[in-house]
Amino acid sequence: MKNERYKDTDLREALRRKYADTPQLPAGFMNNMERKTNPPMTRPVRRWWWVAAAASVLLIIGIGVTMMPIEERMPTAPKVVAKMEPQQTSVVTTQEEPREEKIVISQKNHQNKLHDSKQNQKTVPVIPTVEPEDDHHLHYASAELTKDTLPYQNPARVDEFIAKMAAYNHVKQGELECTQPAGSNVVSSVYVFPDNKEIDVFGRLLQVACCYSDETPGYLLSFSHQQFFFELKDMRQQLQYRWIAERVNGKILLYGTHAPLGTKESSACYQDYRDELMHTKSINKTPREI
Amino acid sequence: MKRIVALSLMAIACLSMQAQEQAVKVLASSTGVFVPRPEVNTDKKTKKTSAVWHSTNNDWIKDNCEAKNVTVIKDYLQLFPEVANMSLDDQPYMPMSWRLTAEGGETVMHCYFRMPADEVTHLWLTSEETCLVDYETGIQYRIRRTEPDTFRKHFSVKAKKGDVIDLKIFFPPLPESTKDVVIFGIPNWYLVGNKVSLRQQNNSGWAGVGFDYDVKPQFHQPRLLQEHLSEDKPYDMQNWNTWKVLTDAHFIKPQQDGTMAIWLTPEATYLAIACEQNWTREYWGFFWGNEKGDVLLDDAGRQYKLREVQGVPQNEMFFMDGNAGDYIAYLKVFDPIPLDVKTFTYIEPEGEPFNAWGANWKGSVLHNLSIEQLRANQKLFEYQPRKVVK
Repeated sequence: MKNERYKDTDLREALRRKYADTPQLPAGFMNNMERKTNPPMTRPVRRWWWVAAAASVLLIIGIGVTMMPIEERMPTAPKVVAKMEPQQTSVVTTQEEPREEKIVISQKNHQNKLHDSKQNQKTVPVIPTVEPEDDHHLHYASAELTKDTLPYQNPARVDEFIAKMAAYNHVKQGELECTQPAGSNVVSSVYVFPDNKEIDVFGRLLQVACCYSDETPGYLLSFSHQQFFFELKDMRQQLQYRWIAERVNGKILLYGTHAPLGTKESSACYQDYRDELMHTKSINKTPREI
Repeated sequence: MKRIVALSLMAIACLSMQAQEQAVKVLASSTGVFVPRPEVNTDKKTKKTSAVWHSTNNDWIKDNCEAKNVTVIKDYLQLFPEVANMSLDDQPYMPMSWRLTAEGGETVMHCYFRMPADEVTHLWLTSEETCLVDYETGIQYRIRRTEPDTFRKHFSVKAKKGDVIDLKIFFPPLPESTKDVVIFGIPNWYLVGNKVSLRQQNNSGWAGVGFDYDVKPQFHQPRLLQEHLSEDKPYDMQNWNTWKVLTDAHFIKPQQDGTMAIWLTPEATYLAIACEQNWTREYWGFFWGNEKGDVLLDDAGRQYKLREVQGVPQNEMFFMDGNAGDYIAYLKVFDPIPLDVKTFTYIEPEGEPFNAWGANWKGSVLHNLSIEQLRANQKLFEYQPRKVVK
């Protein structure tokens, strides 16, 4: 034990000699350090009071936020609850028709059954699809420089689809008697489809609408059991498109319009046609033959 | 002093909690039907605008009034963010939005009306026809009153053009067990027998709380059996002999063809679909990454696109080898759906025409699929190895 203390003393002395020439700390250095690490406790009571008050306020805010209904906390959350009739069964299924009526070969996305039977099989009638362009970009690339961040999709293809759907179902385009403002370049078309499951106009329109990304310029899709409302903008052609389908008196009124961006449009045409279908004109206003 | 401060803080906290308990619960809401904007006339002297509402057809009722003390709401676009990008005042059509809420011990229908002019006349809100009917029990919850008072009257409203006013209709409280109601007697909002599903009301009383994300499902992945059915040529949609052959699908207990289940995770939404194997070889095709891909659509019009179908070739027809009598499932992976979405529409676009036995490229649209019900179906998709008795 003694021996160890002696050695320790010796070591300290050796170190003192070795570092005797090193710079000395400035005067008052240790005092300053002490002041920084242990600041003087001035007015300790008031400081505590403010810390406690701040903590309490934060606690109240925390409780408030925790208890706040989720709708208020997330204002951007969708607010709409289903408007279509929900399925009644507890097990949700994609089966649209009773099983007995199911066609042997027609289930899912191009699904089919390969077998060696030679029985005649019904295929589901199919509306001719809009013919895909071979290359959307090539069509325009030669003439235009594009700043599109999304692949260009021409909204006019919705009109093409509607025209083909109408032709397939032998629905003729209606005559619009109303007039848009002179020189407005508004182009409108109207069809009245039967409201039945076979044609399923709303379903078909939703299929077409979903071909367009929801990031497409001017994309607005609102739909319910009552109405399909769809808008797109064609930034290349500088056009604004709108399609409205509405269940009116057992039929589906489908109204499409497009006009140059910024054109002042009127809803009078649509309103007129709708009133005719609803017979509201004959009730309240001048009787007219439909 | 400390005690006084502490007691004050406690009192404030209690009041805050009580106020929260009386908060508004949203039972249902909708952007609403878009209706034609009425023609607007401008007074040359005063520059004030006026419009006559066009859709009111109760001319046999002669009572008129002016709606006084109308509430103007400022947060309309927060309530209906889906129309935030729309220049609502330049549109020839205007949305007739509404929200059904539980507040102050009553059920309140908020009918929002965006003023197309500084004064609108010939408006109509309610009459004795106005009611909510519990779709399950048939119990009718009749109108109590409106705020402002416009009951069974034509009325005019004055506010600033572009303001959104809140016309309130009060009903008795709905029981928490009510799942669906049919709304009658609000014709200008097109609610004349419309069935709406109410948001889930859980025990905690706060809509939306109580659901959490699912764990990602683990499905058995099919394996490639043959690169081509019988011809060693590049894939050709019109020649099934060039299609791949897969086998060892994810087997499940017998389910009705097309039964679905859903799993929501923060990264993706998983949708399983049950299929019945009727033949030794069946052909399938799943398309994604282009406009032929399936889309889930929520009620606000937001799309959730198909990212992949696990274990199958992308954008190619293929055969699945198995036994007639197998029940199998495919797992589709979509963009993540937020937890507050309760229902969605399943859009399967039309496919490209192709030559094969009874080819069918017609798509389908399935409306109003309940996420709650589809989540309850998860157990139906547990892997069950094929069992054969000879």
